[in-house]
Amino acid sequence: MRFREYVLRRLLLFIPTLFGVVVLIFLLVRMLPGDPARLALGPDAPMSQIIALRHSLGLDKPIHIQFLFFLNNFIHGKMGLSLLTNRDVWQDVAQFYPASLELSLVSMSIAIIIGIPLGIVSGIKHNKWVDHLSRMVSLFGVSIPRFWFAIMLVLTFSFYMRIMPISGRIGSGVSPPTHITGLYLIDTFITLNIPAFVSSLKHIILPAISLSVSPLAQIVRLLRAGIIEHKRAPHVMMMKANGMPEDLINRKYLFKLSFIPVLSIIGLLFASIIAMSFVVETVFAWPGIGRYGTNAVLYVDFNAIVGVTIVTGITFVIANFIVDMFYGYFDPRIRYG
Amino acid sequence: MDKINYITKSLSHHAYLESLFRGIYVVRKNVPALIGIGLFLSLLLMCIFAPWLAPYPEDAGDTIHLPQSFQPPSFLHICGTDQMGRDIFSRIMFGGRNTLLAGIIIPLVGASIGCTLGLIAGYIGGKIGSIIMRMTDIFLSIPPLIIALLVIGIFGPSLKNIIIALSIDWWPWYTRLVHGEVISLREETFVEASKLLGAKNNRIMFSEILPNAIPPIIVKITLDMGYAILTAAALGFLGLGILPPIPEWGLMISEGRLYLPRIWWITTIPGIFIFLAVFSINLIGDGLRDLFDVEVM
Repeated sequence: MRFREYVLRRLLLFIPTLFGVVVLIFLLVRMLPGDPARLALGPDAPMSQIIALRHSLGLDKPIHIQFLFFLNNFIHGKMGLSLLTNRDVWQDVAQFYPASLELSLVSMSIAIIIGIPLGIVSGIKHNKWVDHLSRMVSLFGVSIPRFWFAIMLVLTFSFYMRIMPISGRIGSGVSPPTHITGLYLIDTFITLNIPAFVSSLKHIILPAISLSVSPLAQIVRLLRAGIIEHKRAPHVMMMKANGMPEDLINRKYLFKLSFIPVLSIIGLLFASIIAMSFVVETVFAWPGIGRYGTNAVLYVDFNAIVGVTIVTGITFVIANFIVDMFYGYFDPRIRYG
Repeated sequence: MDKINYITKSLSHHAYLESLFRGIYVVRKNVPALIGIGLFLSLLLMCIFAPWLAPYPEDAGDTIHLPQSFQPPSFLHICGTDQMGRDIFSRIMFGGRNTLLAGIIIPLVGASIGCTLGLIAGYIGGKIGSIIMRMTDIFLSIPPLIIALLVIGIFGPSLKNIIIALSIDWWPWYTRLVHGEVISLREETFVEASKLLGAKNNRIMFSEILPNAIPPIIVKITLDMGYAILTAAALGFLGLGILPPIPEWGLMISEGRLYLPRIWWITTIPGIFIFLAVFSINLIGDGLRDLFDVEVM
């Protein structure tokens, strides 16, 4: 199968999955006991008001009609008012989403940039001290509670050493960049606003590091296991016996093979970053969708909960789609599977 | 027939014992796994026997000794005291009961739902099987904490709701794992044989196929206990888990945050305990992974 066909087929699968996610969230929300009208009006509201609100929200219609309403509103950019901000949830999401996207992209990059060399070294120098060290690091990485690690970073670098900002996305004295992509690092870089770029870089480092520890550890682990396994594979032995330089074997054959499973879990790691950003954003008062979602849950802001759930769900589906594309590109076997 | 049964039984019994002994031998050689087992058991025992072991058992609730508040670690209070003057070490012992309980129960509930569905989907297959697998795919395409937040947002925070919410998150992984195993085991000779002997579907699924799929399930449950502890603690930290004054490790960390940086011990110490619990579980999980020689996600 050609790569283009593979992309098309994946795309055809991608749309039902997206639809499935929206349906699942809608059904979960509607089927769980808990009446949105009652939640919105509070426990003391009179029955007549609840019935009126149910009617105006369309909650007294059959479930499939409700779903069509919901889908129609959703496509037209209406998700209902948020109780906390008193705006449409779509507007809130549009405001907070770029901050979270920026944070997760930076943490994923840190995990990949550090994790891959560490995993390779660890696999090649199997059972040497570098390997033991990186195994310890990765064991710590998967065992450490990320929100606690975040607090410890703040305590060390912001409170005691005073070299990093405590919270927020950009310094209070620096005006935020003009809105182009919404990602501060890119916006400030394009407009050559150097002070704002430095300030937003400084603000993003600690949260990004605390989010990246666990994905980093898992990349190291998987890459190391892959290299150790493939080092003993017959074709590698054969190349060695034929006198091919070790360096060439590693570069040309070993890394590529071992990298494939890593690629396949990057989608999962992205999910764990999204999930944990709820906690880390709270620690750093990062104005992203995680913190917004946490507050929505704490104050039972119904529309906002649904909005955040759907947006993160869709992000995850798209991320997986992109990973699948890379996967199919690098590993032709996948295209035929 | 009886004779065949007897022979297979004694044979499998013998094989079981042999593999058990080999397992014990391998584990004995695996120092990190032994350290993990020791560490986890001592944490577990410490929490189980908290009412008898804790230096100040009355501090588990909302007792207030304001004169003793914010005392740094000392011989009297080895982990210091919190804003209400409660002994932190005692609260950690009681809090661990909730955190560890959540960590142990969630993967078990998730595994029992997921494995059953995976067995059905893999062995019976057909329409039911493909419906189950499509459901699994959709559940897997939502980031883990999100469904949990949705459920807790609607039901309200409590230990029971955390366990329900996170179990909903966890089952699809087991369905996928068991489904894969069952598909390859389904064609094995011993399954054919028991079919020929007239065994019912239930028997084949639960007594023939499931035992052979156990090793990766056990490894996954073990490793998931670590993740479940981390997730339950994270929810507690957000205020979406157990509510005060009941102690819970994640909640204690978030309570102490208000008093940083001077009062560092309220936040730091519960985090160390979470780390130790998850660390020991990961050591055990890695040991089991080496022992059974399986790779699970």
